[in-house]
Amino acid sequence: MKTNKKAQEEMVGFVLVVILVAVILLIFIGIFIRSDRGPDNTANLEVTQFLDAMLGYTTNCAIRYEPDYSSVEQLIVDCNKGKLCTSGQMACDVLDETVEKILEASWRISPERPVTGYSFTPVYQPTSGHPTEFHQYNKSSNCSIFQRKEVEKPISSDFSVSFYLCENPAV
Amino acid sequence: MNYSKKAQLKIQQMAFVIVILVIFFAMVTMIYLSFQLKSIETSADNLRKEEAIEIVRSLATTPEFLFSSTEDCLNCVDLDKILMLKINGDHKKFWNLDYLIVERVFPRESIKECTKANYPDCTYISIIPNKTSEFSSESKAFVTLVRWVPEKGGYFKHEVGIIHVQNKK
Repeated sequence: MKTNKKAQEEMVGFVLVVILVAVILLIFIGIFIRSDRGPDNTANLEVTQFLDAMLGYTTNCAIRYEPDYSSVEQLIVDCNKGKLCTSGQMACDVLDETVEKILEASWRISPERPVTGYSFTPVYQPTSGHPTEFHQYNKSSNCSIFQRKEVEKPISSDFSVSFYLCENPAV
Repeated sequence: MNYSKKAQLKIQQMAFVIVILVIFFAMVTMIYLSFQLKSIETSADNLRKEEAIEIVRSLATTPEFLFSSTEDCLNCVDLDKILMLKINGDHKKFWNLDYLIVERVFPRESIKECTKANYPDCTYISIIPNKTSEFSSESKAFVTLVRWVPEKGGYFKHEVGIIHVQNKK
């Protein structure tokens, strides 16, 4: 009976120590989670600014008359409607060429650099019907959702664009 | 004597538990502090970046840079105005910056500094060219560069550009 009581005392002591450690650990974890400041917004801001600059770029394609040249933003809409430039080129061809060149000139990508890839997708979103990604300019492979700095922007009532940069977690 | 030995054993046991607890909490505290330190460094870095982006954004809206027209143009700067600003050279001390360069990202053929003679076939305009160190924090922001093209009756051409700034320490 005496041994039993002693064993019980030891067990109570052990349980008290475990509870104390658990409570202090919980307090630490609580403070740690509270002090977490959330995601870095600067990269998203950079992506937004780039997207604005790219969409505003004046292309070499004028749909109605020269020098009323379309911006990339206007050309996305014209491309979807299958329009022709006054030069005789297809709006979609000019769009492809321009967007690819802007993306290549603006972002240097490689597995060792801070940016490992990008993707630009114009989307046609009619009020009734499913959204259609009618073009995609993609230079990224194996980009997880956690590495992406993504921005979506409506450009007219039926169109929007989405752009993401793939960030290198190791740099 | 028997009691005393037992008490000694108990004291030893308690001391051992206390030492283990202290070591454990010291380790937890160290891990916590190292995480905290890392997050403080990241926050400081982010704040520095945000500040520089804000500087660039406010620069783009100053009368010396702003492109004003009837059309709605977000983050647009007037490249013609900026060239004149560089040629006059009066504004080097106007902004509290060590380094201020406006670069054309697209289109560009070769890397050349803009002068009155080669404009617009050039790549960048350096308003404050004194970069203090290659390693100090330089920030950039994408902007739309707008310039007047007199051909075909004249029109405003929008191009992709970057403003680079370096804060005074």
